Amino acid sequence: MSAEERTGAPSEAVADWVQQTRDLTQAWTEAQSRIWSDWLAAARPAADVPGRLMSDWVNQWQALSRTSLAGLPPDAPETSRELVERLLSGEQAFLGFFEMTTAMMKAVAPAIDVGEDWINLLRRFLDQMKDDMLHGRSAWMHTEALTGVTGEMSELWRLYSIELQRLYGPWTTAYADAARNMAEAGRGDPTAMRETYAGLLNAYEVTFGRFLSAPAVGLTRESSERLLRSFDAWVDMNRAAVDFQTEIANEGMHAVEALIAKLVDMGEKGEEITSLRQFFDLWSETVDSVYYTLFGSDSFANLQGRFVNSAMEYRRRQAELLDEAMDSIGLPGRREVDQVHRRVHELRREVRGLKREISALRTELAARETTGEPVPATPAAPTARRSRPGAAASESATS
Amino acid sequence: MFPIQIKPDEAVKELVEFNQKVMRGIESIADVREIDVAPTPRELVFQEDKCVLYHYTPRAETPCRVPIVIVYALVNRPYMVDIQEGRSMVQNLLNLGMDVYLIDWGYADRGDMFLTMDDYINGYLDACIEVVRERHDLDAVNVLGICQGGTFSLCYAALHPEKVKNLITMVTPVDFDTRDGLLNIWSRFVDVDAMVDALGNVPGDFMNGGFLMLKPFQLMAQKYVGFLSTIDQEQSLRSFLRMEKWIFDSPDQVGETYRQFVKEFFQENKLIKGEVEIGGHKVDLKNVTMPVLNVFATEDHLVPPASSEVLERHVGSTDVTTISFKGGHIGIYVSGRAQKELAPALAEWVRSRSE
Repeated sequence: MSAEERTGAPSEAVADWVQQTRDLTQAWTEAQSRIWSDWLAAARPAADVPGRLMSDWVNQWQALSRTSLAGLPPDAPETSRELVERLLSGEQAFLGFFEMTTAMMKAVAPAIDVGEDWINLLRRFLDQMKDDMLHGRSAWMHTEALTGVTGEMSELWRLYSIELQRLYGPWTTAYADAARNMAEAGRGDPTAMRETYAGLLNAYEVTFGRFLSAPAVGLTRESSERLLRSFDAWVDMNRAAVDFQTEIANEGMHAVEALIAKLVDMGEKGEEITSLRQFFDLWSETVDSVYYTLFGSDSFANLQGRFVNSAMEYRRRQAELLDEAMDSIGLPGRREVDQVHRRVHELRREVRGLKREISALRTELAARETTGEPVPATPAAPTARRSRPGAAASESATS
Repeated sequence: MFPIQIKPDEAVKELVEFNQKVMRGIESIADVREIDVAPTPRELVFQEDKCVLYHYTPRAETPCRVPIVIVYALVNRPYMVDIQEGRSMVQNLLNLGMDVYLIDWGYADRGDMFLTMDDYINGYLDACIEVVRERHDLDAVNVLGICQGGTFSLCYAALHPEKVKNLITMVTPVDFDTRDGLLNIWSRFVDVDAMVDALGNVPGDFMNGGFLMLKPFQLMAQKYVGFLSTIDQEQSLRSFLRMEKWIFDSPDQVGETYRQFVKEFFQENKLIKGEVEIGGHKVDLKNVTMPVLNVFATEDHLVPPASSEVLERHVGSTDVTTISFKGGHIGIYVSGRAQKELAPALAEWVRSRSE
């Protein structure tokens, strides 16, 4: 199933989605009961029919579920809204798991039935799944495609120009097109991006292209260098992101192996998994356990650190460019506003210190008046334990 | 034997029931108009900038003479200690005759990004302690620090030992050089200067992302699948919603304080080396000479026991009690066992040292 199919769109025909859902469920269940008397039946040549039915059904469920989000009352707390979204994500995970289990059983059950070794069967199926995840058209991180697209400097520049649109905004249409094209490229079509860059490229050429073609001397030198540094940071960030995500994907594969090991162990002990939920829980716990081991390694922490650090460096470089742009049109940028924050903070600290000092001096003065002790012309520095007599909300106005 | 014995018709049935539960669950969630937390009556007694000090209405006729000031972490919100009726550490302490204050640091914004640990510890925290001392005419009060708030409290007790009668630390990181905690390992490879310079304040969502990565499948999928089995029960739903609210209610982390905390505590482990400097003064844990009660959780995946339980070896106090609580970082406040066991033990320890 493609990412688009998986996401689905709310059905327009849903007037009363509860009823529709019920009908759909019933229809599908009936279909199942006719066709899927058992997994063996599902594995017959005609079994692609229920497979498609199931995919449609899963999509319908998700679409219907998502319409319910819009149906939440406007005064529902934000937490409720967020919980529904997470619940739907959980549902999606469970449905996805169901699909995987179904595919697995369809692949494995017939062979087991004729006496093949289930461990090898399962391993072959999961290996195929691993391969699909890493290299198939549905691969979420298609490293070859990315390398293909990003292999040349000129292409990198063009990709980078997309990022810059975020900063400089006016080419929103061109940027939207480019984002769509990037998604296509990410799905394994390295030509998609090259073919549809004309608009962006044009916008790029008349602005930054021209800007960069100027020699890196004189008035534009510092700006050019800033832009180049930002580009370098962007390249570093993308490299680190690919390494990081590839490591995560690889570890997902180890999780699959760990799952097989657990199943073998269960098989030897005669233990059974009789529900989807049981299998889902075993899968979740196995994956997390494998990831926990990975996440605790220095090599992963190093990769993650490189990814985070490079992202921060890129963000900092972006901010520099943006500051420059804002400055050029006479508006304050982040740097200038933060300077103001810093000065206000320093003043607040100073005021707080002075207030404490005054308070301590007043206390000391009051104490001397009570005891009749002479008051020195120049008050001594505060040493009294009670430095804030009567401190209360009224004394809070330092901000 | 092939262990997966799921029958297709039963799997379909299970899936249908699962989705029906999702639908019913969403309907139930839609009926909830308000997620109430922090039910215990309290009064705002002091405010400075965004820092607020609350005083809970005592329940005993003659409460314990020395009040407890609860110091929470900057990460997440302090209503975890008073999340709901019947699951409230604050209520339990009040019922056991304690007099309780709570510091709420508020939600930091960009204007707060230059606040340092000095501002928090010698500024806000000290101001709150002064208010409580003044209100009760006491030289010293009891301080209860939680998680990062426990580390702040330790620093405060070391810098101002004369103002702390008894110190209680709960799930508090002390030794940061441990391989047991993922946060401890990850933080070593992060360029915190680059992060703070780039972000100013570190977004709460960024922090949450890190916490969720500790158990990604269980925290992002399995938890919600499991939740559906109790979604029909209104009380369970409301409890779940409260926890969700708390988990994702993450204030941004003040840049300069975050920089110092990650760099000096997590990366350089300076606290137990006596090398942390706050407001121009070294934080020497040997100055923590008052009685100390240290509570850690055996299943804590955020602050591993190895990080907490060593406190006894580093403080100057000769009266140190350590409680090992069987549970996790959150269960220590909200679990049924915590309500039954922990609060009474804590109140008894405080009472016997507050007369």
